[in-house]
Amino acid sequence: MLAYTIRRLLQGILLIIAVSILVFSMLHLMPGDPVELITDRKVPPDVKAEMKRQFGLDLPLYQQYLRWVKNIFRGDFGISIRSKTPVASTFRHRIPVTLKLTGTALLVEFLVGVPLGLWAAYKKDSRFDRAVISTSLLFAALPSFWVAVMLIMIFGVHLKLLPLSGFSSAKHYVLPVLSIALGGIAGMLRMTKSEVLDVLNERFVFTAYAKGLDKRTVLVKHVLYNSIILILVMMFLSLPWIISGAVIIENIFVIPGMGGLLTQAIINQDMFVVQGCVLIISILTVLSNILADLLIAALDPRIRVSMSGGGN
Amino acid sequence: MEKLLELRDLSINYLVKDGALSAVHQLNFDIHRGEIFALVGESGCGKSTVAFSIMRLLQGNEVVDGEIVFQGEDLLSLDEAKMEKIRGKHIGMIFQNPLDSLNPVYTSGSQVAEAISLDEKDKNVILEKVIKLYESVRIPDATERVKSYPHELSGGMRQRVMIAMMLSRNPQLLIADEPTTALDVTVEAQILKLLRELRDDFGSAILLITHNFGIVAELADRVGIMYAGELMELADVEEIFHCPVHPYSKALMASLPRITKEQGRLKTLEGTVPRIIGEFQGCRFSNRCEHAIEECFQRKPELLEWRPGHFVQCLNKEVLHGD
Repeated sequence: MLAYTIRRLLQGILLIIAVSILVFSMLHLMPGDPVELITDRKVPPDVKAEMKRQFGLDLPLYQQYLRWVKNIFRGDFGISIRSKTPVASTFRHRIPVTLKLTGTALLVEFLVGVPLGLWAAYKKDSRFDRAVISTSLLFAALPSFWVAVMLIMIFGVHLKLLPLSGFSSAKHYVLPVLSIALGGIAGMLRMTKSEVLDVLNERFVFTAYAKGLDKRTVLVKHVLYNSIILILVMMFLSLPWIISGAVIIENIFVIPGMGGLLTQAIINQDMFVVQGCVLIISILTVLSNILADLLIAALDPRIRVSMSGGGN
Repeated sequence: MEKLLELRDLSINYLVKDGALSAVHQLNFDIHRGEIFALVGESGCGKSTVAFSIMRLLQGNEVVDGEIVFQGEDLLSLDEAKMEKIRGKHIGMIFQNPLDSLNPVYTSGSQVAEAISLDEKDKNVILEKVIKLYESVRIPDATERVKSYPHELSGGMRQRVMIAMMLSRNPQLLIADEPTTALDVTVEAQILKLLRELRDDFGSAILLITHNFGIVAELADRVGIMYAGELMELADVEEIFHCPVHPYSKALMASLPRITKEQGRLKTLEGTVPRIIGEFQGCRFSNRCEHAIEECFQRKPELLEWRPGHFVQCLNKEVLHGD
């Protein structure tokens, strides 16, 4: 298991290096020169050249890359070309906001979607199952921005129960979290249901009943535990989306998170911000893939064996 | 002998798209204490359905009629909570394929312990009992094997674990649904020996579900021959082998490979088991029966005592009184 973990981590590091090179060079393939973009036509060429030197844009590409990597290790993602503030400090303010928003949403999805899915599978073809599944189909089909606008109209404008925008109190989070989670619950629920249905038909569930266990113990210990392995892994794989955030939702509710930052930076060709965002998202993707692999290995003994190479 | 389990007019219909598919029809038999009763038939004759209905573990899209009386109580009328108390404690069951009958994410020992923990709370006592059970079902190196996960055990070992699990609460009746089908012949012999010892040592009755006459001859005291959801013949194992009466039983016997002087091909039975949806008139075997008379297509025969302890369901008098 340890050897496997180390091997997996080394692979991850290689992957991150490769991704970082891609991220770095991709921006240089983009059309347009950032200095031209922020300066007026009237600015003399020597001033522009001076600015290029200031941002390190005159160096050969590989040196720019090494400098970029070195700085990142020191926590320096460069200076935003637009706002002239360090990118790292912008990240420091924005990442927690997004994490809080999407993390809460994910938790709500899990806590609501999994039990509903379990019950829908157990009571397959019942009225409850049909109601839940058709409602979930509806919510899966509705785009989250539409749901967000509707929620604002109902709870914010008409009922005046909840604030329309901002992120200062717990109350502010209710509508954005709901807008993200409603669709997510639908997905989580359907995945849980199909996973649980698979497990419910396994012979070992009959064995569990046959030895005299009550329904609840069978459902929790033998059905849910076995199906939750895949669900947890899927959740880990969706972690990168947490940080890249619910872009549209953040814009609608004027929440200063990562999603809004990334879109603005791309529009503004604010390349250090874009680089930083994409790099963070890729590192998270790699990490959550590794975590998902390790988690499934820890939970499922069959996989643990195949990973440690057969012996134990 | 005292009756442990009585099936009274048990009928099971699966609800399918075109109507009610008759899987089991007016089945009557009983199992005595300490007896090994074999239910034999082709695939799809309803024998496994009978097993699952006794455990009340059918899927839920079927209609069950009749009575399953166990120790004087009709299991079909019990609520789920009472049934949970019967499962494992009074009636145990082992399944056809030991490869997937244990949960892959728990150690084999903990799954046996889980059964024992329903009666016993002390962890050390439970572990001791698990090891003892492993030894009694001849699992070598029991103290180590309790920590093994199912995938680390062979098919035969897994079936032993299943037997240990089902023995752990000393049920009066053990249902063994094709317990050796997925195993090779040497392992099969060991498992069968184990089942026999189980009956001899613990006095449990066994309902053995199989299509293998070798196993029947090896193990059973009495045999019920099932065809298309009905019992065709029921008798002591000796009777069934030496003087089968029903044309279907005879055909089954004729299709067995035997070491005799006659050479040649094995006899086969033409046609397949009918799929009966809705009402059915006549004997369910009539379309494949060599001895079918007109009456066989019009009226359902009843299972009648042909000779003390030997029941046959056939309308043709020549079959019953001939020879």
